[in-house]
Amino acid sequence: MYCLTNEQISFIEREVDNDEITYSHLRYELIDHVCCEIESQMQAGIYFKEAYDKIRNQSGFKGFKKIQTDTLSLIDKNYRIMRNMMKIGGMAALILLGFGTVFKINHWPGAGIMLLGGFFLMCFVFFPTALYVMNRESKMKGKNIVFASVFIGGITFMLGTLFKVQHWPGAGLLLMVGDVILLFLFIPSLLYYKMNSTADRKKRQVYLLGALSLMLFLGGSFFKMFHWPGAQILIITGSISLISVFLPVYAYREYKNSQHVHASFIYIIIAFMYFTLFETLLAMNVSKPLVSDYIHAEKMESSSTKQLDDFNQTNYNLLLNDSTVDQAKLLTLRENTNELCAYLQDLKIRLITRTEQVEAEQAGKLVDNIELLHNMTESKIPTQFMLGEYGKATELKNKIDEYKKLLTDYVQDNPATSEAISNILSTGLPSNYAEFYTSWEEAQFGNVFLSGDIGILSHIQYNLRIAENLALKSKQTSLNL
Amino acid sequence: MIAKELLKGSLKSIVLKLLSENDRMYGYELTQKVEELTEGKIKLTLGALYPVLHKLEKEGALETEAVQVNNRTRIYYKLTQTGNSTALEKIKELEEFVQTINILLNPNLGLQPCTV
Repeated sequence: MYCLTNEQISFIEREVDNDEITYSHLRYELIDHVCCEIESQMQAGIYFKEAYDKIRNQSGFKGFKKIQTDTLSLIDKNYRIMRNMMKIGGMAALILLGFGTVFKINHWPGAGIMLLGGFFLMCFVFFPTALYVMNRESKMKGKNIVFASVFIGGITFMLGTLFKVQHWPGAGLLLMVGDVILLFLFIPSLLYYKMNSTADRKKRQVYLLGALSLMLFLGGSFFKMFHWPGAQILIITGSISLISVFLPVYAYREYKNSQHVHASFIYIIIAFMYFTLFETLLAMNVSKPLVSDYIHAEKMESSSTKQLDDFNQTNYNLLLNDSTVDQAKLLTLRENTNELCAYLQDLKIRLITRTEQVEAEQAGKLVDNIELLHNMTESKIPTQFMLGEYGKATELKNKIDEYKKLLTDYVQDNPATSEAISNILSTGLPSNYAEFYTSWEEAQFGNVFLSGDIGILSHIQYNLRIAENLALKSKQTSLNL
Repeated sequence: MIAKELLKGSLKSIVLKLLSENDRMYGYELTQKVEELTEGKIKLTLGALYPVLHKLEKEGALETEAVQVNNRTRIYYKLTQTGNSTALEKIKELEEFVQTINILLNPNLGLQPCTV
């Protein structure tokens, strides 16, 4: 009877270990079985390698791993149920997400429900069951920390994503907690056990490289979400070392170590890419200021104000050409409007100077580009400036009231316009605000963040120009111009 | 070759039967024995045999014993006390099954049509 050499036996051992056979004494049995089979074939004159390949082909694409899953399925009812749930859940989630996306793109009804359903299946059926199955199949020492951290971190992170997409409150917190758990518990513990489980120095280096770049990348997106400095550099270094250093090295080693590429290797790469892409997009989106809508509105209004100003200027010129018009009154009106507008502009600049801690000149540039503000969500300093010891809001209110009086006097022969102007420049507290605020000042500027304040001031500027325009129009009509 | 589907349900009984006739056997030996007895008509594959062996072990019908052979570990299986009665039961069940199938396959036994 032919006997395999020690080298041949250890080759078979490596091959079986490659499939991560961990259940009970199955590993020994498979090694022994394959050895016996090869021995009998070699007895018949077949070479070792050829005999091995033949057996390998017989056991199918998934190889020894399938024997283990079949064994576990047969023995453990929970495992069987979990495995089936994982398969069905994963499939259903994919189908729902796929159809949901198609429906969404085409604006057909039901897209939201499908995406949400797919997401829930992915999060609460596929993910936990897949972890259970992996946990059952793995023999890693101290694996509990690894699995617990990825379970809690993963679920929190996915919930955070859901909250973010649905604009529910608390998304930022969930994402943060999930990220922290993944970053400081899961990756280090996984790295630790991976490092312990292999003696191969090169393999350990690859693991270390992967974990470090992943941590850099995750840390970068974390920084990005909180607008901390250095996010960009972390993300860039992390993603570059992940994609252009770790992945090629890992792939190369995988290819070199075994003749056949595992299906799981392909899944890992795909999952990896998906996660990286997704995380980047999310970090960009989370870091997008909540106040971007205000900024947009402010920009629109500012440009409208400028147009109205030009338009009003032509109206003035028209009126000034008419000999019956009281030119002095008209010029006072123009002067007062410009003055109040300039005052508002000055308020904006001073708000920026204080909150951003910059020179007036710099603030003057920023006022036209408020998306560049660093502290646009800061509300303490602006509130103090507008309502607190400086009381700028009351000063502003008085100025508006003065101007309003001037304007309504000017059009007193036209009650409709007069009323419209009073409404537009109203400094009273709207009745539906009365239960929340005590004054106009508080309703406008109480606890408002910087970009919000600027938006409100720009809105008043816009209203000024509208009111001015109404007054000029009314004058023109009365003169039949 | 007997089709896998036909074999599936009776695999447990076959394993128990073989083990009841031999003191202890290991996986490869079992496959060889079956092949030898059936003259190659039944070939147990790795994938079919080991899940069943582990299942029987888990149920308490079999016990294992690890022995070092040719620089590798060999796992021997043998029947336990409960395994003996399970084996008897299962073998009886299989015999009944075979008889029943026989009846199904030859339903006209003794009732040949008359040719006048």
